[in-house]
Amino acid sequence: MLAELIVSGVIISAIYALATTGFTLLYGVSGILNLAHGTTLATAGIVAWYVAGRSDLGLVAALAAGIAAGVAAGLLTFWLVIRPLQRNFELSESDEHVFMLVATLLWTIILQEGLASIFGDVSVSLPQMIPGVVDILGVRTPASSVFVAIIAWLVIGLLWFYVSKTKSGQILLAASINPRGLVLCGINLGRVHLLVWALYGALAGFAGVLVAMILGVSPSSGLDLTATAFSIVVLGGLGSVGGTLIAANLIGFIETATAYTLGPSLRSLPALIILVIVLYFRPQGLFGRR
Amino acid sequence: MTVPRSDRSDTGPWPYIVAAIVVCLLAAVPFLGVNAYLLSILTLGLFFAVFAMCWDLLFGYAGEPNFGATFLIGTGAYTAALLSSNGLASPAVCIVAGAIAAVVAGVLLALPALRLRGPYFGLVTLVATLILRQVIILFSDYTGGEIGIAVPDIITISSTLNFYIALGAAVLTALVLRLLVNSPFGLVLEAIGQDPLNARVLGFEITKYKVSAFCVSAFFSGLAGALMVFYLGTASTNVFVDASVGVQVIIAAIVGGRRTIVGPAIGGVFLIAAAQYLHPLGSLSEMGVAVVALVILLFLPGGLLGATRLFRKAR
Repeated sequence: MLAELIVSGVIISAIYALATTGFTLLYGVSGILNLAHGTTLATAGIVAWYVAGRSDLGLVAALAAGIAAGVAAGLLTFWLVIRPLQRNFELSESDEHVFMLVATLLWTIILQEGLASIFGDVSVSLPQMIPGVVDILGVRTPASSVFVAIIAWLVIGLLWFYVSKTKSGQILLAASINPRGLVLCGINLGRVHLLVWALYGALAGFAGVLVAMILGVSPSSGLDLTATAFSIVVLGGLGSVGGTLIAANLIGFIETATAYTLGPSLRSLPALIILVIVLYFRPQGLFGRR
Repeated sequence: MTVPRSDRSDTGPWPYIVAAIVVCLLAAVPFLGVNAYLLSILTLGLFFAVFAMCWDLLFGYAGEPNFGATFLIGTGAYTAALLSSNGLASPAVCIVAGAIAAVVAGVLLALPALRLRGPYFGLVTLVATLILRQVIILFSDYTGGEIGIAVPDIITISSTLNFYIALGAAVLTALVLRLLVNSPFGLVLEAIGQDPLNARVLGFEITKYKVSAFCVSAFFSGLAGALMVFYLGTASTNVFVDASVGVQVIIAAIVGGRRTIVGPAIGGVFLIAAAQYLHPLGSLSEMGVAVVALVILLFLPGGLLGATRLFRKAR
């Protein structure tokens, strides 16, 4: 029982961690909470499922299609929703924040209904990546799930390497710390934003495919995924990638433990209550800067 | 930077005359030979108008984005439905109890949530809705879970009378909220919303004003929620305690024109009517409404009411 809980907690947490790093990276660099995040994940998952069912290339093609769909959804969000709002100078700063949230929510509805009318409003899940089961701590686990968890952490590691060791990664980091300073160094902030949206789309695309493998996605599951991602990111502290990773594990384990002890229908309740309590005592989240 | 507002000085009596004419026209609708279907849509639209106006008091004036409007609406609706289905009270008592319960819930939500700012506040209000929904499902023996509770009593079966009840609720809410935002209380509230630091320096106790605004907003949300339960005959989570319904309320308020009270009322009726008008398109109808709302949001930040102001200025 305990071993079972740990194994599935680790797997779920790995997916949560990958699925929220893009969200938190985007907030850190551009200050935007993309409430269409869950639907971006769902878009990638559904496109990957569609390609997997129709091509002979199998899961590699599906993964590539999912990432491409994620990047496309991310860039479309940027061009159609975010840019026009940022160029509207009539809005005060606090108005702009709420308009951003409402606009991305409307974009969620548009994406969701678009997906539902193209692919049908059904839940889909991708086939197992590799067959067979492995024995971990005496728990028989699908090898595919273990593989997915390892891949998720590998991608997070790659992201860390990119941000801390490459020049364009350092520019992204600088943009999240002091955008004005970056402009003074002669860097085009518009291109940085384009880069971060493309990177966000790729991360969300990758994560969406993995989510579709383990949990399954449907067009209307987007809002629930967004709520989970939002909770994790706020719990960890907005913009803090390290905090997000820890919070993802925390929420992943709490949800798994609840599902095992109280029943799957109450899965999200304790995590939500803990979130409210933490915010009451630490309004900036566990590892937030402000 | 906030653009200075000029509408307070130069409007004259015209907005009130227009509003009176619109209310008279609406009151005459049942006599114009419209069918019961159209009347029912207008009834729902007017209830939605109340929700949107209540949201506008919190966001437009107090500056707090409440993503959990359905937490307040749902508390009012379920309180009324639970009292009625257990035979504990008459509809009138149930409705008053619903409104009072919503105020209590509003204070309980506001006190911790107001410690937070911006997106954090929004998230906590959203989470409050999700928690309420889970609790209702958890106690499904009493609340009927996701299916909902049927109320045995109704106020009236006449669609005309039901329409007048909704119209009365909307007009009462609009009047009270307009009077409130133009009163000294409302001016302080608006000052707090636009510049909390300066308002505090001037010696206003921010929390007191915001909690009071929450109480007013919750009272009318709960009242309309409870009235709607008796109109629909059931209270279910998908209608009253749903995050996406809360989002619809926000969309209605912003599409109509925030910080005007009247604009969100127009937005509420518009949104319900548009959804019904586009209904034949099937699943694309929601998409159509969302596209229209997004275009208004991006290119007419003042909403539909702001567009008329733009028109006046151009002349």
